[in-house]
Amino acid sequence: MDNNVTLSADNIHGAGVGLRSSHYSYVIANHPPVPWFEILTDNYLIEGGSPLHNLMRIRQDYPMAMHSVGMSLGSTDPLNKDYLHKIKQLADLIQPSVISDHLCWTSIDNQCLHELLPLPYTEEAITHVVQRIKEVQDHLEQPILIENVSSYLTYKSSQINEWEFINTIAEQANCYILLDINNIFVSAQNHNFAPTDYLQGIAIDRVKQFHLAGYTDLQTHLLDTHSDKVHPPVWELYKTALKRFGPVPTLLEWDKEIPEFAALLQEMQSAQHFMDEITGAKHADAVA
Amino acid sequence: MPMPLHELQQSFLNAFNDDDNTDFVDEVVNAGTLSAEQRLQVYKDSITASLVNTLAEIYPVCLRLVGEEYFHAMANIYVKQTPSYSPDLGDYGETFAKFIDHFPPAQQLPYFGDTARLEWAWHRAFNGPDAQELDFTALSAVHEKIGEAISFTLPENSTLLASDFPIDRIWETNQPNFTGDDIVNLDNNAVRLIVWRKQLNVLIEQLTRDEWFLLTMFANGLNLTEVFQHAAQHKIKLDIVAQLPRLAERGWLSGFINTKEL
Repeated sequence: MDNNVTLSADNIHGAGVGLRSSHYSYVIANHPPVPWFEILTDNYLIEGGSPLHNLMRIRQDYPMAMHSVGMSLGSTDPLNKDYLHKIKQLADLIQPSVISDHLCWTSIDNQCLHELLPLPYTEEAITHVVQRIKEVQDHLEQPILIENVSSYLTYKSSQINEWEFINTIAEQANCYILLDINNIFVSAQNHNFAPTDYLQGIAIDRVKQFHLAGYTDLQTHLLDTHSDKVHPPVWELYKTALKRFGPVPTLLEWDKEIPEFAALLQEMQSAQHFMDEITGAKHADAVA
Repeated sequence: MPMPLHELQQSFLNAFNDDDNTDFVDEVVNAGTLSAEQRLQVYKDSITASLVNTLAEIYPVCLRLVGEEYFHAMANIYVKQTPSYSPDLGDYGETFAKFIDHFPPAQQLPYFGDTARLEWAWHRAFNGPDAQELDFTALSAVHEKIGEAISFTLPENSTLLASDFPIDRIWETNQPNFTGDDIVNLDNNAVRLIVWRKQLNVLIEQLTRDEWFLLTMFANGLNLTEVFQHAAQHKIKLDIVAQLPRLAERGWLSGFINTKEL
């Protein structure tokens, strides 16, 4: 890919929310003051139908980011070209500000596991993933963002920390990082490391987006469920991240037990408040 | 030497598919509040839950018919037997109806499998590409040229479904917003249905014997000549000239094929 190709992330500012089907009619009817939406790419890879129809209506009024779960960047299976082709078609249609997926693997031997499985932090994995990200970026004709996942296990074979792993890959593949603050906190609790060390270890110029969400505390471990408000320690970590990385566009995710849109707006406004307070950034103008 | 990445991923698959955990667990750090085995189990449970929840979303009427506990127990068995091969979760569960047909505890509900078939048809129609509309001008020109060598296509992602039970009524009475008489008479209420999407609305429509006959012929690629022959062989009296415009008007024909060119 041409290294001069730049990311159009500048089109998204401030705190946005994830667009979910249960909110289509509310968004279309009420035009809420949201600076931008992130869509779950995988829900719109069909030419036509109600989801795409609603998406196109909402796209007329809001900038959008595309976030997928199926690239399986870390898998040793061949890349799924058909899937990438569909993502490219959708990207051509909605012209997203950014395209992102996860630093993980979701399939092996053609079997799709639909789970964000962690990689070992090894030289072999770095070389493998870098090559695949380059192929994906060539196919999509733009850089992508890779997101750190919540994890519940680590491998004995890992040679470096997760933050060194993601940094090295972003540098070598010339891609960017979607830093999920909740995922850092969840993994830190599950693997007993300091979440602030993670933030300190990430290259500032690579981070183009933050994610926030709510986890579930199962006592023995934290589970990344996206089913709740952002928890207080994650807000604290977010504030630390804002101090280090500046007013990075931030996305509020809520995927289970999804509340009324007003509850999402409230969370989004909290994120915006912290962003303004800590970075001194001017409140992003809502498009509505 | 660390286990190569490909082998590591295959060992996870073996653990998930066959409960052969040893090789993968040997690679996992065993520290903290969970053992390596428990950490693996978090992922195995999550994958299963995700597929079971997908089935619950695609088959809400089936879930309602038997209740959450029964449905989840059945779906767990199905998931264990049925890997997913598409990154799109919406592709998962096509064979669920067939599984239900042979699921011993479901034998007391003879309409259960066909209800699942109807829900899958609805799901595919809702999530499928937009159907083309029949181009009458082009059709007229081609028909003039090739006559009865013409065949027709049905809307993309439409399904023809016949059942000994009134599955359309079972589906209707089990919708969350249904109000009215929810008594369903299972006897002598066999149905022939087409499930398709007209613009953004999924429709479940009953077909007459003649409509069913013609649409199944076209769905199998037969042209008009072959349809006439088939009708004659089976002594089916049918006024195709009257039926065709009606099928087109209803939107059940979305295109045509010149079978001479096949």
